[in-house]
Amino acid sequence: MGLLLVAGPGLPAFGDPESAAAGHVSAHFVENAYLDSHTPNIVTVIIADYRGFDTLGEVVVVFVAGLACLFLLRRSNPQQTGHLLRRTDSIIVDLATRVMTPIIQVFALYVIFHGHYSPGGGFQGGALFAGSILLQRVSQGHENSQHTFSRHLDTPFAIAGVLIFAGLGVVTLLAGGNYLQYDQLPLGLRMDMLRNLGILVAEVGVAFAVVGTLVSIFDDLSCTGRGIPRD
Amino acid sequence: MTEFLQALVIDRWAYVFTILLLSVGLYGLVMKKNLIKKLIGMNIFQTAVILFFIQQAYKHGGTVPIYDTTVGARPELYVNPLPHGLMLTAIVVSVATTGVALALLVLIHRRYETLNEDELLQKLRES
Repeated sequence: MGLLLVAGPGLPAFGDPESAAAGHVSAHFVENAYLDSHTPNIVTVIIADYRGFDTLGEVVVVFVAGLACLFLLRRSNPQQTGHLLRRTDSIIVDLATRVMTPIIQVFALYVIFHGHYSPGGGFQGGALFAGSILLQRVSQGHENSQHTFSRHLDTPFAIAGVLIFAGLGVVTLLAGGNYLQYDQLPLGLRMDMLRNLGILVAEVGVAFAVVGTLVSIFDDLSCTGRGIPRD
Repeated sequence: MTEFLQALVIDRWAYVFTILLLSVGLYGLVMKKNLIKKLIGMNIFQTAVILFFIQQAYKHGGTVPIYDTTVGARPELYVNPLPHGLMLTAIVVSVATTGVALALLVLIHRRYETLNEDELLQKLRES
């Protein structure tokens, strides 16, 4: 800690607009993001367009982490451990979660699809949507929440997300561009609108992958093994 | 000494808190015996790194990095968007690593019925 404190003054001053990190690519992104892709949210453009390949790798990392949990923990018969996730006894918790779940889900979809214009995007919206499903799992019990989102659905969701994102890259490749070069999509729109559309598809893919993986990790952690018995 | 303090505390006060958080995380990671506490320490460490990047992104007088026609595309008027994008993905990766770590801890507890490092090493030696 002492070392870090001594090294502290070597950092650029806090809030310095001239700091090294704020020049070069960062300035280029700010200047060109709207012109290139007709999308006001610069962070979204960086994530899904300029650094699209990086984000694809990121989605694959999340997906592989979900798979790792699955292979480490999943049993074919999770019913034996139902006592860990029983339905809540409290009517207040029950009612409140019933009311909140659809609102959270609508808001999650808004965050995903409005990510071009406001803070948001696939990662955040996907996490919110997964949160609403986990809320159901915790409050309604594992068995009762299966018809909201079945535990057999989560891995297919994650695979679908990765495939949407990767498939988008393949489409641009077939259309004659580079991998994930959205302005080559064969749709006959203006180039910036094509990139806008490409970002949207990529974000939807990310959201699918995040929802599937988070629910999958939660199910694997909560429903397998003997767990800790109640009292 | 006063110059040093001025450089650190006046111009870079936000980093001091990050360094504190980093130290707390590192302490938990190294000194705690319980593996769950070690994992929590790792999460605190990750949060400190994420905060450090976000602090780098801040600019005095900068607004949110969402293009505004009244502001125009002037880089000095928006906070740096690149660290935000990077940290967005870093948060997701930290969630994924936490998930895998918890899965491993579940397996360790199932097999050795303890998460204490010393007891664990003892049982590993005996078997």
